[in-house]
Amino acid sequence: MSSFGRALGVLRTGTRLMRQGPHRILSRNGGGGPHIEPQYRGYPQLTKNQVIQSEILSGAMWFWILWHCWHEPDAVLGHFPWPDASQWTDEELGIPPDDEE
Amino acid sequence: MAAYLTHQQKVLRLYKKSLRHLESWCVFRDKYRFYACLLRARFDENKNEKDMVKATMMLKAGEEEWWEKQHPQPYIFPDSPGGTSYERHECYKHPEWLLDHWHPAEKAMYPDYFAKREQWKKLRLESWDKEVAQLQAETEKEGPRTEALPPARKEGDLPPLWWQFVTRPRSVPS
Amino acid sequence: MAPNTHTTLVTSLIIMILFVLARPCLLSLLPKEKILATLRFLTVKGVLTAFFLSLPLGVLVLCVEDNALAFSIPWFSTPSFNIFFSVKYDLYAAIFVPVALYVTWSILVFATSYMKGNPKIDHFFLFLLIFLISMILLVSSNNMFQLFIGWEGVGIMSFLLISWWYGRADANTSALQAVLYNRVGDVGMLFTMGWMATNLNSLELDVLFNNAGNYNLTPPLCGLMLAAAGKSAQFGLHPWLPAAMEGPTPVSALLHSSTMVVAGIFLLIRFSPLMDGNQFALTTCLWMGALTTFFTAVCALAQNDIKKIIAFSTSSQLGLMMVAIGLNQPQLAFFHICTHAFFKAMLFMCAGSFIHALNDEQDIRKMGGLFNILPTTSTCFTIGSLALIGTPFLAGFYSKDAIIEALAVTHLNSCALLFVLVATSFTAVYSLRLIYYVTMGQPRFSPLLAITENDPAILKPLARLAWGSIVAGLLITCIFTPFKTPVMTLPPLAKTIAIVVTVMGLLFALELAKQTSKQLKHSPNPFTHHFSNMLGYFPLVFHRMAPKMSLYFGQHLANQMMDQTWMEKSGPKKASNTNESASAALTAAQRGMIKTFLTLFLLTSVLGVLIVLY
Repeated sequence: MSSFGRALGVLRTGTRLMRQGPHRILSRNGGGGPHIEPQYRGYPQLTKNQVIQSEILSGAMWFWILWHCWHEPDAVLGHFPWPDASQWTDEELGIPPDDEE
Repeated sequence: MAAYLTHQQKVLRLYKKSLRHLESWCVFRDKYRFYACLLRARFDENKNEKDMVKATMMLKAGEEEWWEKQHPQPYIFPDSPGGTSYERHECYKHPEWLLDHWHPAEKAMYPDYFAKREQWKKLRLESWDKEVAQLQAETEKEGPRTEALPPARKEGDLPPLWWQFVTRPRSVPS
Repeated sequence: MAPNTHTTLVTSLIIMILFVLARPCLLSLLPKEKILATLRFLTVKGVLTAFFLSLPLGVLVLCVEDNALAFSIPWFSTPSFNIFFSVKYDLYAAIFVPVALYVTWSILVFATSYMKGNPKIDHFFLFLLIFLISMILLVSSNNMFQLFIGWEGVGIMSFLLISWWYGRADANTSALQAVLYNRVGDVGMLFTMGWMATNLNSLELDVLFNNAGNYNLTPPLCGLMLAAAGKSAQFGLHPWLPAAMEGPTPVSALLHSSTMVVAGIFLLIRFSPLMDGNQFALTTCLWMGALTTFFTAVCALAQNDIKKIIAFSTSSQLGLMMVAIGLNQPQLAFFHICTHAFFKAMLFMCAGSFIHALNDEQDIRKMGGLFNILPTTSTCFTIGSLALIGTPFLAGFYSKDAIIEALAVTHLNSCALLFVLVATSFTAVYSLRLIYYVTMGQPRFSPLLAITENDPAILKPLARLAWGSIVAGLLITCIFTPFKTPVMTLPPLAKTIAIVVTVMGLLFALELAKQTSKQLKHSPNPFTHHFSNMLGYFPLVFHRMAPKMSLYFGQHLANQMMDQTWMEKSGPKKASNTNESASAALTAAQRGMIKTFLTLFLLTSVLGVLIVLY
């Protein structure tokens, strides 16, 4: 397990080295969050925190919806079947037959 | 005279406001570019019209069409009049003469600023008469035609009413 | 636990909550710079503490028999009339107070970032706090007088906060508009208070409920409905709510979506025992709600200001709550208040984050592609919109679906049902329009971006409320047992109708979005668009009609009556005209013509003969 973790760490470092393009995210922590340079005609850099948080939130929402859809679909589709009145027989309703005097 | 627009100015204003309203209708930029090109073509088609009667009738027709097709809620830049943050920070702006009423003890807390301010005020006293003289000389008899102030004309002069510019409060508080 | 212990515990907890909330207000009276400069953090902490204190309070209330704890202290008394300070902490308050405190806490944290750089930010927090105290006073009072104090307190704070940027003319007009519309509602409130004082000689609600059978309740209920319509922006008194969007976004999130505007609905929920048998009041509420929810949903369809769209959807949801009141199902209305608070506050906060990131741009035509720069905000925005349109198992579903089902199974008014259903599908349409224009597609904003959402004070409250709007529906369903058995067996059509119309709305909106991206004409069919875009011409007609008419008639009265009638017809002109014609006749007679003399001669001789003869 530990070797697996180490391999992951190596991979992570590797990808970071690979992506070593323009380093815009400086690890400054003055104003509560990382310092993001203002951008002109470009999307600003996203931090991992933002992306992960958004993924978690939307994932949680879909999990919540689908899990409930699977386990209690009756909240949407109706709890009990609606009785079909045309199927009821006269016997069940206690109506005497027509020819009885 | 400035009170009347020339025909050219009228057409240009019609073109500009048509573009703005078109932009309000066409949300997507590519669509806007397409219809803006069509609009431009319509204006260009008759740009060489020499007959003023015809041209004026066309301008009238254009204004009427614009009135028909204008957007009820045109896009307004947030800090323009009518925009959503227009005048938003007015309440934080204070006139500069309030500083004159500070107590000397308070003024002593910002010695550099007030020392510089004294120099400024001296400069203002010196240049005030020249500014007024220039304004009086340049204003026509029937009153000024524009709100824009003239620049300084002579070497060494300061532009008229420069004090309002240097002491203007910051537009956004920080 | 013995009931006595209970009461003591609850009383002390309530007092503690009030103290914790009042503490920053009291501290602000001290002349200390240091306290004043950190007041916002004190406020946030105070609200958080109050939230944690309100949780055991809610549990305690749930434990007791009739789910309500009340105590009253004599406040001031006159020989013939006593007023008590009486608190009733029942199930409604026990659920609403924690929800309100949680939402307020998130919004306050958000405001520390949003209002950063405003010179008077600490006053801002104080205002919000005073508002919150009034709101808690309002929901926990068992006394008309006390309720009125809370009612007016939230109204005043709303006024102050809308005109927060008081240098802006529009903000001042909107604040005045809000206050004036609320005054119309207050007339109803005061009328009911006067009715109670004259007929019952008491302002206590218990006295009213116990003696309700002996009186004709229609007049006081009319007053209450008027009050609720004013405060909750029901049709006719609704224009102040979208205008109130002039305030800063945290204000819109707290006052004009989740707490203050539901005060009207809450008032009717409090008085729902009275409405039980009064068909007139119920029908009025049902119609008022149905009309509101439909009309404001129509208005939301073609708006371009992101905050106005959300404001109109708030108004539409308030109409839905009013419909639930009209169905005599106040629990459902209350349930919708609670779930609505979560996602609507979050939607406003997301809007605030967007607006901030785009340098105060509020027009959705100039947004687009915001998912790429503000992923968390966009996610929360989507979750909030989905909860709003009633996606199954998100917060909005539980309450909204219950109301629509309850409406669908009653045989009260199919026209109202139709209005509500159309409004429900419109909710889906404008929510999708918002998401489509704001978060999806190509960016259309200005190319310079300075601020991002990357501030814990923005991200954390958003995430908190997002969790809230995912799970709150189920949680509150578990705690809150309705007093009336909900209908479990429904015909499939009635059960699924809400979701069916929502899905239809979504499909319709998608089709429209596809059409828009083609845009075959540069301007759409004007009438329907303009009707929706100009808010159904309602403010235009109602705000302009009265001044225009009075000016018109004033001018014409002055012109026609005074000038024309007095001067021309009966005054000097008349005299001169009469004299002129008389003198003309005389002149004609005195021209020295022989014919005239002969005629006169003849006339006088005939006269003379006649006199002689008779």
